[in-house]
Order: sequence, then structure tokens, then C-alpha cells
Amino acid sequence: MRDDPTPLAEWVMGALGAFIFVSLVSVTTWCAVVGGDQPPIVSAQVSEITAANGVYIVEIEARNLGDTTAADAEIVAELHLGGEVIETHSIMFDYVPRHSERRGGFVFARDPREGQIALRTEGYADP
Amino acid sequence: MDRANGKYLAGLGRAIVGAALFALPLFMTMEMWTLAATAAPERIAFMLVAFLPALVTLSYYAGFERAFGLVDHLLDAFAAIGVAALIALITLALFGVFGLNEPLDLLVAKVALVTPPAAIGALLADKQLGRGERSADAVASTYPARLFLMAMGALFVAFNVAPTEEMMLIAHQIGPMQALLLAVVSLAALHGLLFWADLPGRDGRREKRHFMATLLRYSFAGYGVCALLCAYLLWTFGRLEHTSLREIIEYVIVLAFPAALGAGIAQALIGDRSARHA
Repeated sequence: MRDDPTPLAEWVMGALGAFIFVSLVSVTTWCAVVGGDQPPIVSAQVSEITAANGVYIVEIEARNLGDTTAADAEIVAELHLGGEVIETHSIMFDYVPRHSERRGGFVFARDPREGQIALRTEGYADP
Repeated sequence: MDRANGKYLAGLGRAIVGAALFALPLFMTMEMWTLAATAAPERIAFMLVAFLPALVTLSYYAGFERAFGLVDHLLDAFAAIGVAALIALITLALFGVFGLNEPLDLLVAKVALVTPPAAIGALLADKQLGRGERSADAVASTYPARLFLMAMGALFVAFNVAPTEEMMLIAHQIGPMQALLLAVVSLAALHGLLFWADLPGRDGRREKRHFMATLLRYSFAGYGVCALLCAYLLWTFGRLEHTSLREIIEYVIVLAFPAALGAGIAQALIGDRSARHA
């Protein structure tokens, strides 16, 4: 029946595969055990403001500090100038995974550097 | 020894091609990437563990190289998992699926989710890409073995569509009568593929039994296995939370359609080609 002994390459690949298998299982199990269940905590920060083609592009980073993923997370940006809100824009992120960040940008007509930009998270959906 | 190694590496090469080719639709499915962040990690871990005995058994009936005994099949199953995970890692990285500053657990979850179906692809590679050399240890001729192959065929096909939002969308846009019709059509398609279509493995199932007996023993049993596996996949992907039983049943019926087609062609896809003459 048995014509060849198990080739060395088979032991090597089997061991490698077993190592990968154990790693995948342990990391996911570890996440299940130690991972908290905080709701999505999405906050946004301005990373860069660029003037181009007569408009102002405000790039932002939305970061989710919570333990659960947010879907359809809406970020609103308001430009405050002289005690008034003179421009409001919003963007929607399909997903902001837990402990991760996603990038986006707003397009302003007025130079946001003249006033102050206020970013806030409007809400999210449970994926 | 060198010749044995060379032969093994040739089989491994086919396994790599199989994993890359058969799991490609999943690598390129957006839901598979987002599920890594939304599915429960313990369910992903459980899926990996649950697939291991199935892969070992699949290696027994298919396999990418000729293997003898449990240790050999275990090694081959692990090799298939290793190949699948590495191919997934490389392909997903090439597709830009891993974001910068992505936490390690998300990266692992993305790879882990596509590893089981890619590992099935790796084990089936020899059947699909080989030159018809007999590499399996066994011909699936017993009843449990046939059911097992149907289950693997169902998983193999259903896994490719299970994560997509279209499954839910189809369930939402059909009414109860259409769902019922879809279930009947799935069962009929399964029965037709098992007993009427001229596919390998058919003759072994044709027993001198009453039509109702074969319908119950193979087609209904096969459909039941499909439905259970579909419910399991949907549960793994977190699709059943906060959903009414009626809606869950429709999801299962929709997903059981591709699963039943997979179960129907399983013997041709997985089983030994010589089984029809057995």
C-alpha cells in the first residue's frame, strides 16, 4: 500500500499550515475574549486644508475608538466665523471599523482658515 | 525521497492555483472585507476550527496529493489552510484591502474569513486541474460519504454568495409564495442533478429503490443539509441578529438555492471520476 515515506516538504508545509491555523484561531479568539463591547466612538479631526480651483478642501480623519464598527457614520463640519455658522457640510462613511480610521474631505467655498471649523459626529448605523 | 518531494511540490503548486482561482470571487467581494470588522470574532474562530475536520475528510476523498493515513491527511489539510491563508494575504494586500494603520486583529479577521473556502479550493485543485490522476484514497460510495460530499459542494458554492448583501435583498423582494417556489425549484434542481443529469457519480446512487425512497434519502436529506449549512453561514456572518424567524427562513431559502446546485454537482466536482463505474 504505502510506496513512499511522507516527503519532507509535506512535513514542512503541514507544520507551516498548522502554525498559520493556530495563529488565526488564537488571534480571533483573543479578540473575542479581551475585546470590549463599547459602542462606536467616532470622532473626526482636520488633518489638512488645501486651496485649489477657488475652493478649499478640508481633509479629515474619522477615528473609531470604540469596540464595535460603525456603519453610515455621518460627520458634519461647520465653519464658524464672527459668531455665525456660515457654511455646513456633511459626509457619510460607509464603515468606520473598530479601532480604525477612515479619511475623507469637505469642500468649502470660504477659506476655513479665516474662521474655525467644528467637526461633530451626527450618528451611525449598526452594520 | 527527492522524487517524493518533487511530486508533493507539484501537488502543492496545483493547490496554490486552486486556492487563488476558486476563492477569487470572495477576495473581490466587498462584504468579505467589511465582515472582518462586523462579524463576531468568536464565530470566525469557531468557523476555522469547525472546518478543520471537514478539510481532513475532504483530503480523504479529494486531496491535492496522494496521502495515506490520518497524519498525512491532517498534514494536507494544514498545508491547504496554510496555502489558502498565504494566498489570501498576498491577494488582499495586492487589492489594497488592508488599510494603513490597520489593527492586526482586523487584518487577521480578513484573512481568516476567506481561508476556509480557499482551503477547499486548494484541496479540490487536483480534481479540477489535475490530469485526472487518481489522488484520493477513497471513493465516496457510502451514504454518509455521499452526504458529506454534498455538504462540501453546497458550502463551496454557497460560500461565494453568502456574504453578499444581495442574499438579503433577494429575500426582501420576494414574497412567501416566491420563497416557497424557490425552495421547490431548489429541491427539484438538486434531485435532477443527482439522478437525471449525466454527471459522474450518478450511477452509484441509482439503486433499485422506489422513487420516493431516493427522493427522501438523497434529495430531501441533501436539501436539509444545505439549509442547515446556509443558516450556519448566515449566523457566522452575523446576518441573523435582530431578524424575525420569517425573514431568517427566507434568507435560508434564497441561499439554499446556490447551495443545492453545489450539492448536486458535488460528486462531479469532488468525488472520484471513476466512481460512476464503481
